[in-house]
Amino acid sequence: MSLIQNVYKKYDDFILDIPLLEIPEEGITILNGASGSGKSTFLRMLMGLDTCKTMSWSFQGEDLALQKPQDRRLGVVFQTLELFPHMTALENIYFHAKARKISKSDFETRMTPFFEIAMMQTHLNKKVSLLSGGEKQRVALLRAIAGKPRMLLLDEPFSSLDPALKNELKHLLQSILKTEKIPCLMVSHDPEDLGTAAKTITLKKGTL
Amino acid sequence: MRLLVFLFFLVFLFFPYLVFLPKLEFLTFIDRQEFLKAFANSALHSFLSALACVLIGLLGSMSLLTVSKEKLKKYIFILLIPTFLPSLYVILSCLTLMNPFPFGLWGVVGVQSLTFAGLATVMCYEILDSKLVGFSELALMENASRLQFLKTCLNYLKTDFLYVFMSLFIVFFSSFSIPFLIGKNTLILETLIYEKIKIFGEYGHALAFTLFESLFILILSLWLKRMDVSRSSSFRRRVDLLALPYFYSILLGLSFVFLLAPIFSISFYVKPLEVVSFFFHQADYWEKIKQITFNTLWSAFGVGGFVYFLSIGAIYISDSISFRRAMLIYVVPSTALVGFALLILDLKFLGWIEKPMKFIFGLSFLFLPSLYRFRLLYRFEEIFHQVESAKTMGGTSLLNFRYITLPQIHRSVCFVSGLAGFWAASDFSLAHFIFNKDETWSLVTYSLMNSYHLERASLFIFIPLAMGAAVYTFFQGFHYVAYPKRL
Repeated sequence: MSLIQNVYKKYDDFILDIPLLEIPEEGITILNGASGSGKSTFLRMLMGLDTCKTMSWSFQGEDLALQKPQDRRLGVVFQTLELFPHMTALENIYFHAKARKISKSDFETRMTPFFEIAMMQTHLNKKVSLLSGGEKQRVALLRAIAGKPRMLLLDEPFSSLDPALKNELKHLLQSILKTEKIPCLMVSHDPEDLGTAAKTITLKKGTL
Repeated sequence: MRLLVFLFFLVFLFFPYLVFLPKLEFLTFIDRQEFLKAFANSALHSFLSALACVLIGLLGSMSLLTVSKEKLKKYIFILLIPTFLPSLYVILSCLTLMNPFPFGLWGVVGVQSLTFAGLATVMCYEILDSKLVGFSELALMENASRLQFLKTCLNYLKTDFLYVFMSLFIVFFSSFSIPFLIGKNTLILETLIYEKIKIFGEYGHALAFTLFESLFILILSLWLKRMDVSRSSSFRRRVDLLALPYFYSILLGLSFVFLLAPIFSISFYVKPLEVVSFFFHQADYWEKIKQITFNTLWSAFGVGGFVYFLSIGAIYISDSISFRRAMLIYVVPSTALVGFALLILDLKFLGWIEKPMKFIFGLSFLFLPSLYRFRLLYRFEEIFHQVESAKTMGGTSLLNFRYITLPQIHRSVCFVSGLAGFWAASDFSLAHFIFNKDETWSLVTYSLMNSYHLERASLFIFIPLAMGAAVYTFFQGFHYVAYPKRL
């Protein structure tokens, strides 16, 4: 169980106030809410990209809120994906492993089955700019797990995809989570996602 | 490592003040009347030049709306030529074109307005293109008249135009070379600082004036930063109700006139051999030519190289928001102050490289902040979210810099380094503080201009210009040689 406490931050005319939030050890936790309800801000705080001095985040015996973004060991997929356009798909994925000091051979052994599940083997050496939307999304997802993260944070990762592709990627995500046995917090507006979620959290004007 | 780079920039960006601090004992009573007069003149020439630029820019941008997308980029490049040409070349063009030339305040306003009209046009075009597309199409369908639409637009876009005006005002207010050469007896703040040190040796006064000038520009910059003028240019759709056909041809012609005026001057009046014998009639003229060429190339490559390393250092610590903010509002002190600070610095132990080193250091100092804001910061902000994403993956500053930031910004780093080298080859404003008369090709040109040998100056200006172009080309090629290693 991951326990997030005392999230409080005041912006000009907006207050984000989450006194207590539990995220289950496994499965997908969906975070939903209207635009401007503070979902992305909250997610950025969890990543450590936005500061919240009052927050504590107890997970696997550590307070992640005290750690720098690079030390939290999270796997992140941004809404805009933020793939590195000058690199190939494989280089994008390998970057996370390299940053976590995982050797190339370990990386290959661990990730090859995922490349197969994601049907990405033939696209790995292509520049990301040459990939289709769905392929980019898969690269982002594979990159997120390449560094052996302890949790996945996904910010509306499938929002811009057509229903067929969305289903395909949801299956990929579920098989990843099943294999890796890690929790996932996902921002989503899709009512279909609620059915597959282990837990659903709704943010309304900055509060749960 | 990061801390060291931070400390380096802290010392580097404040070096003229650090050099002058011990001289503060010379601070005596400041002549307020003289200062206010210089300040008023600076504000006046900057105000008039910026106003003229915005007016020309508005008409020019309305005219650019009629240009097709294919031609647009070429036209924008041509329009920006006068702004990016070295000021010595631009001044020479103006002196060649207008005889007698109206030296003084109006001369300064004229040269500055014509030099920056193209840039103002491009800035205004970006505003019209990005903010009026939807309105224009709607107004067209609602049968609004041209005048009605223009009135509404000007009202709606007044903040944006004020932004362009203020940006140019700041550039003109801190400009040294054009008022120094064209201003003659019109005392402005920059030339007052120059005179205070050069003629009267009043370092304390010069420092006080520089601080005041910097503070004034800082306040304007902070105000400018608060204006909400974010825009994304579409470069695609049409704003028919504002379109003003053909006016852009006048501006394009102006760019060509600037570029070609010295060439005409040479072809009509100069017999090259006569010029060579005029200037280098001494027996050792080959030696002299070699020395001048060496000084010019050394300095230009040096400035390009130093700006390259400074840019890389600045990019390395750009993920710090404090550094980016500081660079955004940092005001470069007066060129005169920098020149004299370098003169005071005792680096005789460097031997013959003392002068080129001072020149390289000083000019890089003067160029870096604006080049950083103009290109590097903009590029960095484009990829900032990738850096954030890399951070969440555990990437250290060095790893992110090496594999994410640098490969994507390296081309821009080489571009700004080449540009700095290009300008350095033709610089006379800092060169004349550091080198003796006729020690670089730009100073040779400058002394010919000062002695009204404009035709000969027109010939000689092409030497530093060609050298600058070579340095620029070198740095463009350097991008491919030094492109960072892949993952």
